[in-house]
Amino acid sequence: MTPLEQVTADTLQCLWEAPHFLFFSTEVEPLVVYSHLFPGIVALIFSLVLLFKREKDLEVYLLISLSFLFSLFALIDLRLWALLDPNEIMFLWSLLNYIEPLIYLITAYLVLHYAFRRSIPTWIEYIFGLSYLPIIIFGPTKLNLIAYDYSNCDRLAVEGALLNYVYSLEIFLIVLTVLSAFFTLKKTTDSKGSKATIFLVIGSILFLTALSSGNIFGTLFQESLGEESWKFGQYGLFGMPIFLGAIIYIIVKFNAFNTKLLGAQALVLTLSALVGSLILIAQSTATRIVSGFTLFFVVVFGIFLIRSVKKEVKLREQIEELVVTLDSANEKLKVLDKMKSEFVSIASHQLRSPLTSVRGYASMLAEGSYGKLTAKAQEVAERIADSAKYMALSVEDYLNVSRIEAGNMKYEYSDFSLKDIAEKIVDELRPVGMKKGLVMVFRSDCDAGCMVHADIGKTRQVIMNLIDNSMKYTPKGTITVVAHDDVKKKKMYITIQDTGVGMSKGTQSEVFEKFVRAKNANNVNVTGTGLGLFVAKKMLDDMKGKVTAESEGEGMGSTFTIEFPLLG
Amino acid sequence: MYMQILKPRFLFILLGVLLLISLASLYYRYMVLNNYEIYLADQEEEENI
Repeated sequence: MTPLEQVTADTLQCLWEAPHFLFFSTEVEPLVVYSHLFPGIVALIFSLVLLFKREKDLEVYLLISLSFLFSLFALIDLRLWALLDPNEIMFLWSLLNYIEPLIYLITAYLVLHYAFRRSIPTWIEYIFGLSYLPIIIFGPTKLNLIAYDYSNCDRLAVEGALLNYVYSLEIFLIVLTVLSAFFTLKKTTDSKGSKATIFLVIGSILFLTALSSGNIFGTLFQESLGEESWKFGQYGLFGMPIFLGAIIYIIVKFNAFNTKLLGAQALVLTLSALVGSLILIAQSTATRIVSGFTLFFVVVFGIFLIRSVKKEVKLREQIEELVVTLDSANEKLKVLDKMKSEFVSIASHQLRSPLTSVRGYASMLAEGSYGKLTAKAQEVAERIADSAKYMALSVEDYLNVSRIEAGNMKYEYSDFSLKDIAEKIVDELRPVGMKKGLVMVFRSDCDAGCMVHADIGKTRQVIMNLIDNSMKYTPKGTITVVAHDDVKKKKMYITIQDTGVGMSKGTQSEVFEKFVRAKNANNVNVTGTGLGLFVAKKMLDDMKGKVTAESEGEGMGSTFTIEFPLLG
Repeated sequence: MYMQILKPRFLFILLGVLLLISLASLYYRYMVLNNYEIYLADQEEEENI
């Protein structure tokens, strides 16, 4: 019998059952299976989820390889517990000693990469790379595993000096992670970033210490405790779900690692892994069936949950995008509006001065200052003067609008009698009205002196504008201006009532807007700009006054009422 | 041009290649050659397989 046959025969004497489905054997305790399967499956699912994400950078690749390597580590270790072939035990055990330090290196590198804000100094990268070199070189030699221990039925390998190096490296990496994270946190001012770093560091430290404490314990006490010494270390694997929990929390909460992962996704995947591994270690058929149903419902409801959350997230992202677009569009509009106002202001100023001379010379011509004109020439000169006057008024309106919109309108406040102002205006306009065949009536009914506090020039302009407006839209009839006050309400009113074309209810609500004219306005007056009432309202608003328009309907006349706070 | 060799990326690629060679020889040693020592139970002696 060759030594190998001898060993195999002897192994059989230990009465170990051969493993089925790679990992399962009645010789392995359910708790050991569970402590390996659950973290292993969770890590595997996590790495697959990340692998199928569209956007990946170095940190995501590090996370993928880390969780994949961990999953490999957990599953190989589980197979080692179930195996009885010494060749494979020796091979897989050696392999674990390659994987374990690699997990440490990647975790530490990931933490440093995150803490250093993606710019790790080159010398640290060299330390990381070169520290793995001894493992590569001595991994296949006797320094890794010295021999297969066949002195008992524990199926253990005897570990060599390389393991001392591996454990020292692991402790060094834990210390390095803590220190570098500490110094980076001291420097950084970004509180959100530091919180994420703290979570990452705490998660990885817990993970790494849990992992190494078990293995170091196993190595140290193998001689005295045998296989028992390794059982303690199995629970160190639960450090992985804790670490993944920290990572997922950072991804969901801080949008770290440039990957979009939903909390719902992580929750459902973890739950599925948890219930799935329960099925695998379940002892009775009833438990298996119950766990199977639970898994089914977790997966089905999980898919619905993930879908609805995804939809919501997508909607929220779209809204956020829209807000950004609207904001920039709004800014652009504001700039454009300001430019337009400036343009109108400049253009109006340029128009006003030549107009004044046109008006002046036309009036002088009509009045005969340059010699007597023929009747026809006289009429033409008067028309020029009238048109120039109308044009000057329009230009004034445009100027006022641009001043109001640019916020440049200045007011000089004083106390004065609103009644006197209104009366004077009616007297001034009466001859013009009479020419058109209109009757101009003024009445006053003031109990408290009709005094108001406002800009007298602007108020005059507003009243003039409103009466002029009424005259334009009243072909014949009466225009009645009434000044009255309400001492109880402390208000002063000027009401301008005409018997003109009136307006529909729809027009009443928008007649104070820019460039809006009544639909029937063109029938009686084609020259309006649609700015007079807008300017009047804006000026009154600024002076704490108010203006309202009422009409029974088209053809029924209109009533405009100006309102001011009453003084005294 | 020669500075490229000093970059960590080059080191990592080199390490990756070495790791593959190392793993291959590990597999060859244990799974093909079965070349390792065993500690036997009763005789308290080591044997080469």
